[in-house]
Amino acid sequence: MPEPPPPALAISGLSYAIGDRVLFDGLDLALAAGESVSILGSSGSGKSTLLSMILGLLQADSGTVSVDGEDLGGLGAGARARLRARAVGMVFQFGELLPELSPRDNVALAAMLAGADTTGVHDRAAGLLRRLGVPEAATVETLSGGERQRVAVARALVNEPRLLLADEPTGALDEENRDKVAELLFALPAERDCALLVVTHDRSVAYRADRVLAITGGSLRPAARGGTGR
Amino acid sequence: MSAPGLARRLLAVGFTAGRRAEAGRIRFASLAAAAAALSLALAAVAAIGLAQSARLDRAGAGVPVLADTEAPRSDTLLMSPAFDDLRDGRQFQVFYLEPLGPGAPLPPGLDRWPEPGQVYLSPRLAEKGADEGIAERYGEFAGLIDPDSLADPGEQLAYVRSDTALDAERASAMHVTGFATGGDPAHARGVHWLAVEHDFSVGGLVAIALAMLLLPAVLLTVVAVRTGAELRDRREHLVTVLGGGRRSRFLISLGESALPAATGAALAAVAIGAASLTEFHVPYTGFVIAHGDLLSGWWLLAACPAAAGAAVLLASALLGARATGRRSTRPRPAWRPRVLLAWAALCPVFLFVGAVVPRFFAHTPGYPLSNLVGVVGVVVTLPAAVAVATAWCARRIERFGRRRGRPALLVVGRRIAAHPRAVARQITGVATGAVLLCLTLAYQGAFSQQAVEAERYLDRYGYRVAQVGANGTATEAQTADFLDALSGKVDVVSVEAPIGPEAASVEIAGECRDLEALGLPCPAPGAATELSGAVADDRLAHWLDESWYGDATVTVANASPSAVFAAADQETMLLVFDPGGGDVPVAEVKSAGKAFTMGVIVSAPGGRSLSAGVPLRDQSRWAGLFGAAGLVLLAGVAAVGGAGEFIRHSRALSPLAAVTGGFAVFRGMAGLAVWTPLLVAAVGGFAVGVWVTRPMTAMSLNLVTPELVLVCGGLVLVVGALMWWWAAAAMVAEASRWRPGRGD
Repeated sequence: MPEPPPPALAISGLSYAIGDRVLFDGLDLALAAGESVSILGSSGSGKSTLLSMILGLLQADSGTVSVDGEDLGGLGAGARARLRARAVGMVFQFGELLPELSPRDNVALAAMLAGADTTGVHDRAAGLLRRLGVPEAATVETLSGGERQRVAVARALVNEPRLLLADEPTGALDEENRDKVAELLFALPAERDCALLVVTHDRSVAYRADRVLAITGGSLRPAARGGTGR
Repeated sequence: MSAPGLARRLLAVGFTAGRRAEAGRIRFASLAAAAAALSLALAAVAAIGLAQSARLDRAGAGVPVLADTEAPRSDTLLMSPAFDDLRDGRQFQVFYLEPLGPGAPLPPGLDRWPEPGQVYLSPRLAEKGADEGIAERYGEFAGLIDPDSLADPGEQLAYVRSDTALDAERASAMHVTGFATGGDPAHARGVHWLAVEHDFSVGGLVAIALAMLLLPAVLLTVVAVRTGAELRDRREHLVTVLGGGRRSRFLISLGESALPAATGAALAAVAIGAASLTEFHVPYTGFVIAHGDLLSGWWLLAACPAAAGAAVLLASALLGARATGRRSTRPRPAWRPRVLLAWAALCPVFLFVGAVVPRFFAHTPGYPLSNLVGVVGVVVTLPAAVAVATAWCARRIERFGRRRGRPALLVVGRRIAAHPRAVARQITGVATGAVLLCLTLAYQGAFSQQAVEAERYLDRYGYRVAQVGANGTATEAQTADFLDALSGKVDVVSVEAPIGPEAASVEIAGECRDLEALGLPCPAPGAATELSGAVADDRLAHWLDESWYGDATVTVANASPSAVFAAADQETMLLVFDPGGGDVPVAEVKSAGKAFTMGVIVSAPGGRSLSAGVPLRDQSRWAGLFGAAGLVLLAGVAAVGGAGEFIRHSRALSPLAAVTGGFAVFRGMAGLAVWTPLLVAAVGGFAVGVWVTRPMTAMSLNLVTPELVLVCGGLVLVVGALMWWWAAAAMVAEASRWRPGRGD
């Protein structure tokens, strides 16, 4: 019987403190492909720090972070970057697109920077953009905020990552676009067989995930339903 | 809070902000470099004035006061000037002295009379002429002329007291009763006249310094003020939103720029101080500013860094405040590609007019006129051509990058294609600077056609034959001594011929041995024979051709050249040949010339005009020095501007680069955005400059030498490479620090 694939993300016993302030104290999380999880938390609760550790940009005091079965702690900076490029896609809060480039070039750029095989990358980018409903345009400057964020999603997917991270992906959008982008995002795990981790403080977005967690007392616990959303 | 207290607080806020390492300290370094460049440019202009003023004072003290009819002989100095040169062709004056009595005035720079047969040399002449035996050329070396009395430490000058009496009736002989202080230094009879005459005019030097140093330094200041200014702009915007007015923003800007401006000005002040405290050797030009000349105007030089620092501060505060206050919603004027394309299309037309058309008008006024029209047209249309070419190339780079999966090419190509003006400005500034440098040097060399022909002659023929004439009178005994000193080293004949192209006959006289060495018949002693057929010795035949005697009747006489030479007038000279057929040992011949009262003049027949071109060549070094410095500054302007633009536009890529680990993209992007425009500008600018000035340099002294072009181009590329590395390192560092949630 074939061995089951490793989880897209596995965090075990993660501890981290800044001075006297303990952010994580034995934090655990496992996320399989096809699954989505949202992490809620107020400002300063450690959401972004956790993302930095998953990306391998920050070292924990103790504990392990594995992405696609590889322990980041055992890898050098170069190997971590290669693993990120291969296995992780990320949607940023403000899209972070290059304004002069077309949507297609913005998406293809992620593949080029990752050093991936760029054969057919423009067709792949065009396909993704079509699938996400982004119109053709000479530059992304002419797109609406929601369309730009969908370009950012397409860019995160172009390297076919096992783990998709989204940092406040709807933070800069109005309600209508927020719902469209959120719907799109949370459909991806099933559609593309990847894991999705969304960091947000918007409850209406967070509760579209399979699991909703909150950083409480240095560890992740199921978030209590309630609140007013945004 | 009181108004002074608030002002101090705002200045402190700016000062603290200025110490942040924004944009990899490129902003700090750019502002400091601008302050330093501005300080040095101002100091250069001031130094020209100070050095020239001190120089003219000393030169003025060397103007002789000529004796009137009542002046007592015992108070008179008989002084007779002669010209000489070293191997480099630069002329200098040799003053032959004869005090007629105990009251005769000592010339400037001597504290005692040389004994008969003794000579005093200026330090530079003694040093430069050491390998040509200058110390023995005019007599016995007795010491150095006091350098404090020379026009400048680099002046070449000799005082000789001949051991025979000077010819008081000689036209150039002066009866001197004193030396004036405050005389006209350009007076043709002044001791330092030639040194002053050979100089660049001070007005010309100041103009070159203003155009090639100060203007680029001002441009660097303007660009530096806006480089890496995103945080500063955000800060000013915040201050405005919080209710701060123009004064508040001004004070914060002052505080922010204070440290870099002070650092740059202080570094420049150290350099200026060091130059002022010593005998300063101006690089490349060979000019030396005397110790104390700069120190005499220390207050003016000290004001330069202070003024430059203040100017940078003011520019930073005013341009920053203006940028924040730009709120107009008026649309920018539309880009008019048709007009631009039309101008761009004219550039190659003008290039053709300037470089090719003149050859169809050779030896007519149309030659310089068509060249001038072409040159002006190229300079005017070059910016449009560069802008169009930049946009065209950028689109191709973008396509190539997309096709080959090269992110740096794609991103930068697209960026430049969308906004070609910034890069076009980068290229145009440096390229125009290169063209103008070529033009300056070409015009400088355009007045030297005769000298060029002389140089070409010497390059081709060297001193296979040398003409020797005596300065002043020559007796038979002196000529015999001269020939004795050269005995066995050269073959000598005397030549008597009328001067000018109408010459019909030439008489060559010499000892049989020397005549036969030249393939000439040797008639009986005292007899002469007319030469039938061609002259056998090619050196002698060449001399006859070069001296317009090709068709003249040649008569050969068996007679002592010393007797003929001493007895004859100016139309007689000695011809000297190397027995082995090589170059005549000119230095030895000149040294033997001390047998005559005032030495000899030695020249090659086609090389006599060489000295005329030497001052032009030496003066061109100033244009070369300032031009190279100006080009480096313009390259700095372009590189700093390019680096600032690159950093501003690359920040959007930081998160993606951090996640994918593709930091190398910044190195490629910086290379394309910062270094490549300078490469294009240097290569293109010098190619156009050399080509369009070719009609001028082809027929004159070519001061646009390959060495100069390579050095200037190389300096531009080094500046570009430095900023490439710096900008890329700054962005890699910034992207490496990126973390989720920071909003940048």
